[in-house]
Amino acid sequence: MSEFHLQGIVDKILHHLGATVQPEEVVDYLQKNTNQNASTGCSGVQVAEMSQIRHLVEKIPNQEHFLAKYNDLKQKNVDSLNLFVQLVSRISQDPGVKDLLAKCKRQQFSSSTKTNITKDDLPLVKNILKEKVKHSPVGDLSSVLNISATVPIASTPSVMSWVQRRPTMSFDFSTTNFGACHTTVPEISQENILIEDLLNCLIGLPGCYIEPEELKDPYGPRTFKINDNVPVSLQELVKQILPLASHYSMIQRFTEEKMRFEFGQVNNALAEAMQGLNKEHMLFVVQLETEFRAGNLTLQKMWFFTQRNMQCLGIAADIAFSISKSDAKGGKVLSLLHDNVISSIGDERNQQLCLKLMEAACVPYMKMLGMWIYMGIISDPINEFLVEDNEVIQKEDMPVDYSADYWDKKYCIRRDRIPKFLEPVADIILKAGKYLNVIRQCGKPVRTKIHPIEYKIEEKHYIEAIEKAYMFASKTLLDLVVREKDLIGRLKSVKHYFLLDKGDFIVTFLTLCEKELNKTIVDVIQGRLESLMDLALRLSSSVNDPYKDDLKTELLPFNLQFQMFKILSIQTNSEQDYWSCFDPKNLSVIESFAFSYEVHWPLSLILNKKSLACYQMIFRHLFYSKYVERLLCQVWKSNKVAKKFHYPDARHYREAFALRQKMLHCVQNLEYHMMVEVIEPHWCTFIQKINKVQNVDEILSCHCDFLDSCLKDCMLTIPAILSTIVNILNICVEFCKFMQRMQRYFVEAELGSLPNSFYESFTQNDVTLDEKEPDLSFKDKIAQYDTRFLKAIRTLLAQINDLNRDTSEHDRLFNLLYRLDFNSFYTGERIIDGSSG
Amino acid sequence: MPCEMITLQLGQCGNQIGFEFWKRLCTEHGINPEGILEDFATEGIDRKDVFFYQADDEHYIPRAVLLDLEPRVINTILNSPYSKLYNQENVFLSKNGGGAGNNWASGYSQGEKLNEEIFDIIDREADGSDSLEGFVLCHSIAGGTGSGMGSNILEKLSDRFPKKLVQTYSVFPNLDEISDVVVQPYNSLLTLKRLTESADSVVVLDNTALNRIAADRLKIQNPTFTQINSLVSTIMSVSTTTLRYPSYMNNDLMGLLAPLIPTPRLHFLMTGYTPLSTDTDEVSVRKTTVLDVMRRLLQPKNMMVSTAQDRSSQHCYISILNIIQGEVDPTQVHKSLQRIRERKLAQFIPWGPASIQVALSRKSPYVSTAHRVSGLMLANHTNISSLFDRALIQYDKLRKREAFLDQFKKEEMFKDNLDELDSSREVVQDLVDEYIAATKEDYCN
Repeated sequence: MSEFHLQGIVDKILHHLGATVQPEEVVDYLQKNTNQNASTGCSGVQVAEMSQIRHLVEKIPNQEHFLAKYNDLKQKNVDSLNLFVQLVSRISQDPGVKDLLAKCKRQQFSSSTKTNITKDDLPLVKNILKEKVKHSPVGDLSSVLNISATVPIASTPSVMSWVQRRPTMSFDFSTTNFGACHTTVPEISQENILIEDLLNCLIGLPGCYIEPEELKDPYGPRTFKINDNVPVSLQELVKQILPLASHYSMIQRFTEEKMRFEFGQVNNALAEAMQGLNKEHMLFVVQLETEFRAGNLTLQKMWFFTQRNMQCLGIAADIAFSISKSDAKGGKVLSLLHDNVISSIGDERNQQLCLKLMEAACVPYMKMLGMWIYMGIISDPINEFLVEDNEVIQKEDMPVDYSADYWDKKYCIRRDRIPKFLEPVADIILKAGKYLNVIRQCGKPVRTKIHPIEYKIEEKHYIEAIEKAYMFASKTLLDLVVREKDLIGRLKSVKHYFLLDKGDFIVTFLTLCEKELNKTIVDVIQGRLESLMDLALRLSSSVNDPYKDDLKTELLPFNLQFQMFKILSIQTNSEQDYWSCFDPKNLSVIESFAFSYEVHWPLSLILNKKSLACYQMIFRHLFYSKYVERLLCQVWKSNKVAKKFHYPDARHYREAFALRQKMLHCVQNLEYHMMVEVIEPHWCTFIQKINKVQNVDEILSCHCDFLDSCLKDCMLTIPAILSTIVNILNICVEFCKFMQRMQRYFVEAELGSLPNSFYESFTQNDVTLDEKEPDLSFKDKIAQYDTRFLKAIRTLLAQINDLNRDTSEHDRLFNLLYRLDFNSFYTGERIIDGSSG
Repeated sequence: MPCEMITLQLGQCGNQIGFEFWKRLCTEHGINPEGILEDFATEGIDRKDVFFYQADDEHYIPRAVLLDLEPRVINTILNSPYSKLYNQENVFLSKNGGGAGNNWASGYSQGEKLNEEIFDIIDREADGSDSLEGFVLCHSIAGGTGSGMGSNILEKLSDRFPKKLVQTYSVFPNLDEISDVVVQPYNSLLTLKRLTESADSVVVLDNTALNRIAADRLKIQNPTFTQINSLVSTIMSVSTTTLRYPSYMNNDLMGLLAPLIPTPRLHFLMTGYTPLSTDTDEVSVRKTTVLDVMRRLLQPKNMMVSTAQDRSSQHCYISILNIIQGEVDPTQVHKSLQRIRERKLAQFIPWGPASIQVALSRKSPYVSTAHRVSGLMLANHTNISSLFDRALIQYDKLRKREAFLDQFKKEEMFKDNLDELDSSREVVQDLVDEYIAATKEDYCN
């Protein structure tokens, strides 16, 4: 069941229960738990079901009623009956839910005198639930019928069944009685009358001695009443023949009903095939009558003749019964027929018959299937086909959003509609048509060799055809995406900008918009950033990238840390906290800046909104690191003047320089780790995989894996480590700003007056002193930064060290430990600290 | 475009290594000797604009300024196939053409006089670039022009372009041979002061070590200047690959040098390169794995600087950057680092975090090499002070005898006194002391 569908159902249930919970939460919860349920649901279903039934029966006062209902439902082949029994049994064991249901029931039927829900209400509850579940597709149907003006519906006249309007035109005992002929006739003559009666009954007309009884159940077998005057011996013989009449009746009723278009093409086709059977049967009756008129027919003979057809029509009638009973249509009908075909193996005549019916019924379905897998078109007015088209959003509305939804939601498999014999290939059926649709949406004609698909007892016939069609579709789309639309080139281009693979572009960009990045978000004009980015693109080696014009800038109203925590804290209690303590106005541009990328159909299927968001997250992290590295380097550059200081004086600045070195070492190693040890190797494996994939879905999943592992190994998904890293980077920024402010003072102090050109480099950074600062000397301030930085980096080292070493999940992170502390500077000192403290 | 570098080649040695350097850059970027892009190189992903710019007719022109006080070497260049490569306006020859006579003072004062003309050229070049990152100066510290005029230009550069980086490739004299330049110790010392105070990073190319490497590693008994210079050009070109072939990191000189040079004075870098091969000798190192390359780079015999092995002092690495080229898997790098750390193959400073930084760089697609992996090491090692120590000792020997000072006294700077020599000695001594101090844990306190 698709998420979309699920959501709809949950919505309805919640509505009926009058609950205030958000459907999304329930859906999420359900999806998380589905796997567990599936695993428990699959093993030993039968056994579990039986024991649950037993449990329920033990508790119920009127057991017969319940059991009868259960058997009835079972007979009707109701979908997921076992799951439902499970549900009911759980409800019966869970007092909380019971109370809730009782409460809801009271609200709904307030007039009802019952206050407690009792066990014997369970079928009722069950029915209500079942109605809801069952009616949702019907609801969809009605909506489809009303809204979508697709061709088949419009051109189909909405006729009432003529059988309903003209009940007497039915060939199924429309007139129950035409005149009593209770006259006693000698027993010897009765045989002829009986034969006449039987011949009538066999074609759906009442007789004198044999009268059809009223149907108890519109789908039930018809029964006949034989006049009591008929001697027992003849009665017995007639009783032997009568089943044929009731078979006929059943089939006739079925055909008359199922011929109506709303029962679907499969039923129509089956009905037609059944009608064929009845026609043969009628011919047979005509032959009997000829015999009879020639005086050659006796009851005995007749009984003998009917034997041949008895079994045949019996099977057809059985099929008709079970289909009508379970109100099946489309795939389900085919499943039932398929079961019959399979179970009749060994009985050749039977099988022939079943196969004939099956083949006939399959024709419209296979045509639909062919349309779908060869053209990508669904022509399914009655919702029989296993693939459903949820016309989510129009493509024109939102190109990016559309793509994500398109892939996941536009087409989905309705599990309940899959014919059993197509179950193993259902997924590739869905994909085949889906791919073709993408190709069509690109304005490409789809040229396929169409092989008509037919149902045969050997499944290889249709399976092969489906597989071929799928291969064709997936190969065509793959070619389109990879060759024609140059997916790899696109991905590389995205990598250049989002994963900073083209370092010179980033350097250029950082140089150009240095001033802009330090502003707060309200003071900056995005257009300016955009044009600076364009300039950087043209000045760096990216000028050779054919896709560079698709790169755009974006200012997000939250910083990366916030974004990550927001994502990671979904479903946790702290979710609200993050929202509340955040004010986007104070954000600086560097914190809110991100690239965005314009992607066009069909590549937007792969570079969809979600994956671009992942790229953005990685980008922001890398970009901020680069920015900090650059700040540190600039401090280094302005500090280089210190080599002109007098040797003894220069010593006082060593501590500050050493701290800068520590920071730079740390930041560069973080960058190296993320870029060289994480992103690049993951990228290489990703590209290798992509070169081997068979279809677009695989590309999607590879891409997803790639981004996930990058996010994980860049430590973005471990909140504690991320916040430590952000903290380290922020200390670095503070330190850099401090050093830049101080530069002027210490240069003046050491070298006296300076050529003016020296000042330019310092005055461009705002030389404003914080109010709090003057209390501390330069040395103290540096010492303070040093302590803070050391504390932060030791926290980081400890956090990485404490990660689970048992799994290989964090292997790459341990490499970082080595690099950050290659000469045991941090850990070595800690030992000293430990011994002194 | 950002990160442009202007190369200044000074004197005989500077112009010779500069010539080799440009030759090499041209082949790596697929530019022919006349400055025209070869057909096979039009689709390049490299950045030629760091070192070249395009003339109106699409010719690639090096951002190079050729300076000399005597015409011999520059004339050789102008008569070579590469003559059309250079911008003729950037070739500066002193009009009197007499050279500096291997005298620092003469070179310095001539530089002072020609200052305006020279800086006209440099300013023009600097204005011609969008965002100049810095200057590269090639010279030797022993002769007259490279050392004297070089010193003068260094001083002026750091005054006029305080925000630009000045990197030098400085050739130190061969101490194994008896030099024909008797005042070499004076020249070296005086230049060293400027290198200390005005250059931001000095790549030390020690002729002693270069000759030794040519003899031991390449089996060339009497290496020619060209052979030595091709070694130097390898160092120069590889150390700039990350700028020319952009990738994730180290895309500007600043980012490359900043981690190498924690404190501004200690900016003398050693280099090492492996595997070395010449045109004649195909494969002298057979196995090239990352670990192999990284281990070899840590061996003193592969260093292009000959430092005295002093067991008593605690000399150590301040920082290391390995630029590795070739097919390299980051996990191999990591394993190699682990191995080096376990075996304690490198000693690091005790006062700060230090490690072997690795930059993985692409190779030029147009130059084929026999080796799968090759590596260049740029290292800041305190042991470099032994080189300065030697310079001091040699200087002291001469100075004690007041030998050969007449020529110096002829020049303005030394007319009245020899204070400049004394102050230079003091600066170099301070430098040595600071290097020694950097081996101690209390360096920062």
